[in-house]
Amino acid sequence: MPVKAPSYTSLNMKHTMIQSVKHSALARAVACVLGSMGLLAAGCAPAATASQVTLGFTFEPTNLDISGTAGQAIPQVLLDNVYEGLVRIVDNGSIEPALAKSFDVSADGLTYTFKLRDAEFHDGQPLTADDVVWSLTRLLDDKTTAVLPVQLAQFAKVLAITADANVVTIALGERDNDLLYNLTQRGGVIFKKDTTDFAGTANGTGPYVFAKWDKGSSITLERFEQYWGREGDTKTVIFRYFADAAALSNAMLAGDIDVMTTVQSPETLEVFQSRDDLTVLSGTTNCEVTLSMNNSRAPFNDIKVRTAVRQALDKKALIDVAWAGYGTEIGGFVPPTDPWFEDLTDIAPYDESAAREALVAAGVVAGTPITLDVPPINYATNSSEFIADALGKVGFDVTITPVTWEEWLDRIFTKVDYDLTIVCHIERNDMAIYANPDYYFRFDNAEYRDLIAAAGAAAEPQERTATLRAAARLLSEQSPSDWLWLMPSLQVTKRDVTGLAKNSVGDSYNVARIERVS
Amino acid sequence: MSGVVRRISITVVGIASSTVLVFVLLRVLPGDIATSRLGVSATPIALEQLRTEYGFNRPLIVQYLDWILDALRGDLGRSLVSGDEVRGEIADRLRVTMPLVIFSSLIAVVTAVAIGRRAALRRNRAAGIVAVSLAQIGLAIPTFVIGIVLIVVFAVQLRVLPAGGFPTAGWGSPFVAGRSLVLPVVTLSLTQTAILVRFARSRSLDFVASDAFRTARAAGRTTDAALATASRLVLSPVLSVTALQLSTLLTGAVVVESVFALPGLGSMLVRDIANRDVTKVQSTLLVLVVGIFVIRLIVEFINDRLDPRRLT
Repeated sequence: MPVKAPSYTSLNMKHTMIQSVKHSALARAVACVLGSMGLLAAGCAPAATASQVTLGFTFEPTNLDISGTAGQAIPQVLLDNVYEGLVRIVDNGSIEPALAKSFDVSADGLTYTFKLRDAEFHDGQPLTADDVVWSLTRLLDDKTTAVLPVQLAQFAKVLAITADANVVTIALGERDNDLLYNLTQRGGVIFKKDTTDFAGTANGTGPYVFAKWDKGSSITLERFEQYWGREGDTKTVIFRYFADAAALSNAMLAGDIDVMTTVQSPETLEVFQSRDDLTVLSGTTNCEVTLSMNNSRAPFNDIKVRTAVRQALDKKALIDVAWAGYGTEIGGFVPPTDPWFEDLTDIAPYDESAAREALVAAGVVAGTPITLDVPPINYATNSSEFIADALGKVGFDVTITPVTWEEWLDRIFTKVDYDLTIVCHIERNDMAIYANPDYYFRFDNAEYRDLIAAAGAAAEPQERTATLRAAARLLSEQSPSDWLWLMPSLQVTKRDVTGLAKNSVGDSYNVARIERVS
Repeated sequence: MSGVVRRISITVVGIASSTVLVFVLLRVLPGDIATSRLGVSATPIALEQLRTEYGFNRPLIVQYLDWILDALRGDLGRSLVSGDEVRGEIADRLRVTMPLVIFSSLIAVVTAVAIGRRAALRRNRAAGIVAVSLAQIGLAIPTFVIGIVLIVVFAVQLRVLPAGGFPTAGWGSPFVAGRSLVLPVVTLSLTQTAILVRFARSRSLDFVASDAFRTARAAGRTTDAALATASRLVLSPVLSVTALQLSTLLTGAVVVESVFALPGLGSMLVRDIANRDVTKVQSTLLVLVVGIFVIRLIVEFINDRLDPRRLT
């Protein structure tokens, strides 16, 4: 792998930059020392140099165990930056080789072969085929608690992983169209063989080394100089964590951080947009904000009632109220970045009087009491009043009940004791959750299940796409839930920061191409 | 002497019953470490297996005694989530929270006594009325609002102080560390001052109306000097209230640490509770409870010195 040599001009530029940084750093230090005696000082913010970028996040990892601890915080910082898999997913959603130099899929879709490249772990040991076999075989032991159950399920169709010299073969019992994607995510991470401490350290092969963790505050990544591919553009990347969204916004406004990787309250965007030194980025996610209805409970066991609920809600007005107009109306459970997306907003469109009449026809008495359980997250709280009001206008008497996430998981998700709730379903390719009649929607439709199964077994991509498109349409026509909007991925950056991934296509937050250009 | 014994035994009983309360409350909370670690898609079998690994299937009394006996030996256990020693993590976080609480208490006590005395002397004049009204307003504004306003003014607009955070080097870079605590300390002390001013003022008023004050004035002392003779009397209730307020101060610290993104004990506790890291939460609370009880005990003894009449 050729290593890109810096040209003379860029070397020269770096030299001058370092000098000017040195000078201003000294001036700042003096100002700080003088200033802190009087407790106030201008321009004392930590000097941001071109070799360092600070990114602001809301969720801090609880430990570093990428395979054993749920949640997005760990893969966000470690996946693709510190740890790598055989393959990786890039911003436009396509999958490319990573630790595999190349890979092949057999015609029957049951055998995947990966040719490994020469790579090194951060502790200096070389990558071997044994490491790959060992790492992926961890996912085949369905008794283990060291690996998240969701990953065990993702690799359920894998029979065995074997190695011959530097070629690794994955053999499947049946075709699995999601295997490659799953290999790009946390389940596909390659560890050094016989690693035992997953929670405390992270020894990967990625472009950045896990350098330092100030708990409650930040994680520092340093560029890995022996990286097999193109080295990270910025030497030091700091992930700073703000449990409070307002604190994150303020840090961005005050210039303490270079990138605000998530905008939790879109109504604050106006402030950022009005600033010349900041840029707002808007990309896509896989997160469908869903108004879930309990299909096993009257009156929502009636498709006419569920359709009426959808018709009672003016999504456009709702998006304006709840998400400052930044969401996308989708009319179904598929984000526009999936090949099988089609605009389904013409199914059950907003029509208040039609909704009212349909409810009367379905025998729903005016003033029927129902409960809307609202978890403590702003897309839900911001939209709950609007929904209660709109459903009130067509004949329901809605009680809004705030619930904690623990209660939500226990009562709603596990025990399915609810009428309506709002939650964002963030998993990619998650149409299968509606094919599980035991899932908390309690949506039970044989035709839909068959379509999802057929898509999973489809040999050709076109066939799969067509089947999933049909499934998505059927799903929308059955209205097991309402889909309020597709969550945008909103970020704010300083104008001179480049190389950010705009779309949220997986769990990682890839920092390798981020740099400041001035 | 019996007073000392009585106070110490109250403290011991208080701490002991708090441990039971903490232990029980954490087990009544819905959700547990297994669901929080494995996520929403975990199977009941996997959850049960993890609970067994953590030892949550043992009888409650065994779990309780295990915890308490270890704690008595100074072993606060390990975090279920990170595997780190709880004692070390608490010590780490106290480096932020201790200065925060101590400095804001000190500032609050000093300013409250000064303002309270002024307000008492000028109770019918503009200055006195303004002081009391300001104290009322200070009480009415939630801590996080004060914090956000200060951030907007000093960090976003004037850019003279950081909006939050704590340097990676900690107190290794004392100036940066000190600067990052300026706004949090001010925020926390404002509410605290507002509470204490009322006590300082009413105690000062009592004294202004007393024979002792009149005598001092008659002996030719200025109002200020006369009032100064009552410092002990004013300070004593203020100290008691401060000690009582310690728990409020710690809840305030939770808010302030989150608004200012400080890696303190309060923000750690909130996160650990969300993660259901019960071992860590119960040990952290134990440390806080013991701390609060001990400080109250010390304040009681100081007050005995300040106002010996209490002992009779």
